[in-house]
Amino acid sequence: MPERPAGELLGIDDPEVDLQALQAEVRTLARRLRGGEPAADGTLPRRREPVLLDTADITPYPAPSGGGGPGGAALAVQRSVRRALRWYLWPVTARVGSHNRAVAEVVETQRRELSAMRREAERLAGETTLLDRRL
Amino acid sequence: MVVVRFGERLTGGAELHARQVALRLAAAGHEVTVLTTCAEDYVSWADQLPAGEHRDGSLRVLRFPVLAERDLARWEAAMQPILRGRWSDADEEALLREQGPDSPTLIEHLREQGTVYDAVIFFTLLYAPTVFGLPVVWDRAILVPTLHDEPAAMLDLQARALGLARFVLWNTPEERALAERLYGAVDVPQAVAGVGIDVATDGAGREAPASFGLERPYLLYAGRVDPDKGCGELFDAFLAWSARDTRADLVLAGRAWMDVPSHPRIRHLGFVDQADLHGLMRSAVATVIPSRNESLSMAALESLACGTPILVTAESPVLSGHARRSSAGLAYRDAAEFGVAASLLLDRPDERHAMGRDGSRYVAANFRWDRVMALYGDAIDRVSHLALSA
Repeated sequence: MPERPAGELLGIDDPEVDLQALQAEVRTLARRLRGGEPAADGTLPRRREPVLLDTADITPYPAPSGGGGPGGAALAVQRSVRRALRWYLWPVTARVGSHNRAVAEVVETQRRELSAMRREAERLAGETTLLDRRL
Repeated sequence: MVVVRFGERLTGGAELHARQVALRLAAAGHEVTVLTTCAEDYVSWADQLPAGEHRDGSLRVLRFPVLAERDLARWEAAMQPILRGRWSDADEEALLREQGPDSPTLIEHLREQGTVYDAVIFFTLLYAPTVFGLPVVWDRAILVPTLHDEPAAMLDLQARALGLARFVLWNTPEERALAERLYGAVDVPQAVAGVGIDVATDGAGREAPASFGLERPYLLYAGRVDPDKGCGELFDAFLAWSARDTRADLVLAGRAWMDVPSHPRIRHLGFVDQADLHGLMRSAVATVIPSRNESLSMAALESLACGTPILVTAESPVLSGHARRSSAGLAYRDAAEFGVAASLLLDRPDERHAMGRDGSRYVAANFRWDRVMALYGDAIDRVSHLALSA
């Protein structure tokens, strides 16, 4: 067993069993059992996403009102207008949505950096107090 | 020492860990005060124990009341922004308060009396007493994060507490890697300490398998039988395997917090004491650990110390790390790999026993109390020399 660096865990350096080979055998036999399908991989934990993303995507349609909405002929006209403007409005809203998402990502990056700087400022303020008291 | 629950009767991993460390620090000549809540139940945090000062052997224990029991509906609502992956700073504070245990008087004690202590060791980064308490006594704070891979452990407030600690003692390198993935680089003096594993060598518990009527080979699960511990997936995998290979039973040693399938080859023993548990481990084909969220896994280490290989879910980097470093464990990604690995261990007793010997050496080399307490001692010396004087 090699000398351990302080505060680290080490594996044994002369194992009696070739674990890698055994583990590979398990994987191969299990794959056969699954009919050649690979095992599903585990998922990585979710990271924080910008809250602003909730409002990044915009729609060319007005928000639904509290009333019952138009009916009959008015609805037919509304649909026709929407269909007629689709070629123009949809690309515009897609570009605005894309811009919003990019802004949201930048804001989140800045928030993370500010958060890290706040932590560091807090730590440094404490260190300064400590040094002041020692002087 | 600050820990959310404390007492001889508590069996939770971090709480047991904290008590073992506290008792050993006291035995080494430190005056140890434990700051904890009146709660025994980690779900409700209901005040079940009297507030105030108590003795636990050589330890002075100060219990503080919890502001409110956990309201599961409100806690789940507070968790939603985190689960969606989008949350604000206010959401973080709300989640920590709802998750509990919220004990303002404990934090107040740290504010008023914190400088009395040379060092303050915080156990478990997840909970409010650490997140709100550590910044109060940052200049003498040692953190034992016992971090799990879970949504509630991704908060900036936790990153803040971690960054302010004067020393961090991890359980495993995988736990440290998880912290780096969640919070970024951890630029704090640190070490991987873990715990010491005590397994009797005098043959105690040798009769346990016979006394429980276990005559066939068996895979052992040791711990709380709980869906959060992966037991649902374990039952599915075992039942699928047992339809193909009937050579071994599944034995469960621990209290059940879920329905155990009624099946002739699944035996539920309920709670068993430690000597019997180690006796059961020694005679098992393997100890199965299906839990994704582990920062250490005492069950894995005790099994390895007993000379029994481990069969672990590959979804836990900590368990996979123990299996790889010890050369005494197989990791499975799904029910097919679980079954193949179990059959291989039964097919090859020589290799299985060799794995057991490798496992014993791994634990003996890394998880000895003298090594662990030397690291705690170093951390305390370092922090107490740096701390602001009262």
